Amino acid sequence: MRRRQFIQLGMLAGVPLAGPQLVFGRDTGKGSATRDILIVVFQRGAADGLNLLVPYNEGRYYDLRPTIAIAPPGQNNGALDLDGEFGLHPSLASLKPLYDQGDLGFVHAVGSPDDSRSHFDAQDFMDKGSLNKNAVFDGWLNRYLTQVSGDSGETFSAVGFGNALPLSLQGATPSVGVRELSDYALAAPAEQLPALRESIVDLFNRGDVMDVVSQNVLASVDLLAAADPLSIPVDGGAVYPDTQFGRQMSQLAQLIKADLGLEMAAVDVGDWDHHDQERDALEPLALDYANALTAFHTDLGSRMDQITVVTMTEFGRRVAENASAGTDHGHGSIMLAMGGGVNGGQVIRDWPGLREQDLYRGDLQVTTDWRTVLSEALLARTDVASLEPIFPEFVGPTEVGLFQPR
Amino acid sequence: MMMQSFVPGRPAPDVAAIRQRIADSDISARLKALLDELQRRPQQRFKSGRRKAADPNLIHLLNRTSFGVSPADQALAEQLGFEGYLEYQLSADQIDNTGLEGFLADLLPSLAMPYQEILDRLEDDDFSPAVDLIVGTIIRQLFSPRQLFEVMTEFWTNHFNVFLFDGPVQYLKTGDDRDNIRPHALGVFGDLLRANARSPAMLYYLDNYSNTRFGPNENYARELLELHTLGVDGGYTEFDVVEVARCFTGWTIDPRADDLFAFESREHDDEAKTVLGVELPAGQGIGDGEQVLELLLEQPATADFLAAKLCRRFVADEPPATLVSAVADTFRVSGGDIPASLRTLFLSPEFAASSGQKFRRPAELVGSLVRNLQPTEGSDYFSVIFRELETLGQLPFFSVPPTGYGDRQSDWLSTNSLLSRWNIGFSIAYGEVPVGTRAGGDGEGREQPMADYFRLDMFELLGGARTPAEIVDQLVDRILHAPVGSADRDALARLAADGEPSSVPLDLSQAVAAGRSVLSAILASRHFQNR
Repeated sequence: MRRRQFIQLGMLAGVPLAGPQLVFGRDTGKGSATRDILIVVFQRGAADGLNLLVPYNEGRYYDLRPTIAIAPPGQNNGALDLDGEFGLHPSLASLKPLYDQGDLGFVHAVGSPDDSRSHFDAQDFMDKGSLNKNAVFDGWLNRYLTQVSGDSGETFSAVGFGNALPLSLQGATPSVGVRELSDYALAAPAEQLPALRESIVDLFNRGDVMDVVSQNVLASVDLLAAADPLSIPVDGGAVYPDTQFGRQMSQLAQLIKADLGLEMAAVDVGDWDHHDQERDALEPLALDYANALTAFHTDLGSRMDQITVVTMTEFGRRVAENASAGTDHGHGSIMLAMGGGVNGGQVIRDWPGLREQDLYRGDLQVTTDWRTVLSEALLARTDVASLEPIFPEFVGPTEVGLFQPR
Repeated sequence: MMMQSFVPGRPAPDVAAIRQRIADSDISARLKALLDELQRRPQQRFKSGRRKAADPNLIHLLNRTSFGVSPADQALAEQLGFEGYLEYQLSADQIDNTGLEGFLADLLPSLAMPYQEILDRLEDDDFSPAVDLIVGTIIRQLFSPRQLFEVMTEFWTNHFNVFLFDGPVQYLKTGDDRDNIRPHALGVFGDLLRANARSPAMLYYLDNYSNTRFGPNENYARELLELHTLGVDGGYTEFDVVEVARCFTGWTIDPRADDLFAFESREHDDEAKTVLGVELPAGQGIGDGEQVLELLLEQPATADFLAAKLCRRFVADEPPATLVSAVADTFRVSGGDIPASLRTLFLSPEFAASSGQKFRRPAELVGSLVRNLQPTEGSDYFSVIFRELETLGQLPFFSVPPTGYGDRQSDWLSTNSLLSRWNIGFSIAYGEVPVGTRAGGDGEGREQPMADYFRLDMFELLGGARTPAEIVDQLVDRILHAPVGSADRDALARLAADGEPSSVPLDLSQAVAAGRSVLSAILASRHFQNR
């Protein structure tokens, strides 16, 4: 059932929506005919691009990070060379085959042109896709959702993982929030449920945000019960890490395979704020991040031709390490893209260098706007009509060379 | 001095381990004994036909100044009146709390232990001050008669958030809560700020313990400006962040000191600095940081930021500017006096007009279920409270980023969270619904019905109500304390009547069944999600 119809029905008090199961479903096959499924992973806390994607030819990198730098390729626990200049953190090793086969690529020295070193401010900007904090309150993904699917979208067009909906998905067009699929069902006694659902429909009838969420709870519960995504097996021998991010990526793959019409998803992976003891802290996080992405790619197999995964973070870390063997808030970091439509096997960068005069307040400069990367993803891999509502203040460029046209 | 050097590398307990620890303990049984004592109700207040309509202003005040309206608080508020009850709660140290605190001292002795004693006992089997603190905090929030004090303690805990399981914070938060937050929760903001700057929990969490002239660490300095005082739009610059970090070099943790705080002058950058345009001369030592705190306390932006945050908590997600300005004025004029600022807030027309406009955060949702319904305790009563707070995502001290838990509806409302909230209400109302699968998805306790944990006496809840219409009126009054409007009342009556006329009395078992359904729908409704 389409969302608009559902809401209209729900607003007619007394219509027994709750009784018969909803009629739904469309033959979606693999994604939409006209656009990729877009998965946006946000590394909350400001991930250290310089240690994840190491500029190992830069002497200054080793001078400024005497205890936490990743050794050059070939050395013990050294970086894994990608292109003669940049190497992967050793815990990202599972990404290397995807890079080599051309399904995964990076942009370095990328980020927000805004100066803020506040997690809150910088995430707010990236989630909203706008710096205009007094006028823009919804997320860029929601505005994209509104444009491509809008009122005719499926209940499961957009899914956000977590207890609350990620800000990037908040806005006028409703999304489904999921924490854990196995808990996603109504827990009232079966014989009471029809009457109870009828009451809930009657009681949530004002058309405000809570009513829309309420109607989508009922619709999404029914769709999930019918599709039973948790029964869909993992393919290709993929092994997801037993972590929150691993479970969420695994369940996201199941939702995609269940053909519920999923168009986009927002997933957070947190804890990247390493002000101290970064070496020990980054290792397990990088491993989790890489292995979950790799498992997702393996699990979805040929469907990855119609799926684009992008990862982003609010800013990078200071080039010089601090006294606690960590790094303070910096500026430029990295983005990753994965999928059949990615011009993989390359680290795209307009490399600013790490000499004192190259740095911006001690930080890696941002030479590519994060919106450039996402704009190209949307233009190349979706049928988005206009970027203007999605990134209102952004004037380009909209090409970076990371994505192939569909 | 690195904290790692004296704190053994014991892994932080995961949530499942904490849950198990609670289930294995005798907390629930002992809590039952306490509640039998504290909640003994003098008379049956909910006899059908003898109800007096509750004063909506009083209910509004109770809803916002507590974790949930209990019958006892309602009775007291009716006796004292709006201003009388507000003053009573603002003078929290005058409220007798010996029963609860005596119970906690006995149940959770680590709450009173000095830092040094906690550090001495780290290797003891079964010693977990962090779990004690979580348990003690939940019990205080749910059962302390000093409700506004507990609400403000939670507010400032969140304002000065530290994540409990960030390394040694699990051994340091007990003292922070007891010595730095609670004594000032209804005191003066400056005292909170000064105490927090020296708190070992905060020094560790925001890394100032390693902020030295040899290697500055800006983490605390930035959050001090952004989150603790001025706010992100409070007019400071990146340069100020760097300078404030220099001012706090050498403020660190000393494992030998009683309060674990030390100022290491050798690590302090003693050159001159400039903060917010004010020049701090060279050679001030610890005076640099102290002067920064005073400077921040004087800034109008600090009053504006805190007033807005208080108004967001107590009035509306986007509070009226007129009210924020009035509260900020009181805050400034009174020198950061918290009760004075709250008085301005609660006595304002903007507050009076805001009933129903705040979405209950999980702490208030679970608090309302427990405080309002006063379930007859089952065998593992406390476990279910912990589980539901976990499921809904607001265990005390579990917010990882320094911003703490959000305070807007959008921070808490999604299809996932609303579904969880409905399910909690369903399982309580119907009793036989298994619980446990929703917490962590680990399948524990899958077979056990909610009634084993959290038992309701539906017969008592119904009072004398027997017709569907009476049942609806009784439960709406009992749970929501305010009418729901005729359309919603009709919808609930249809549910209760199940196709029969709503004015015909049901037999007892039918009435109880109807009561369970109506209770489920009320707990699911917007009227219960909001306050």
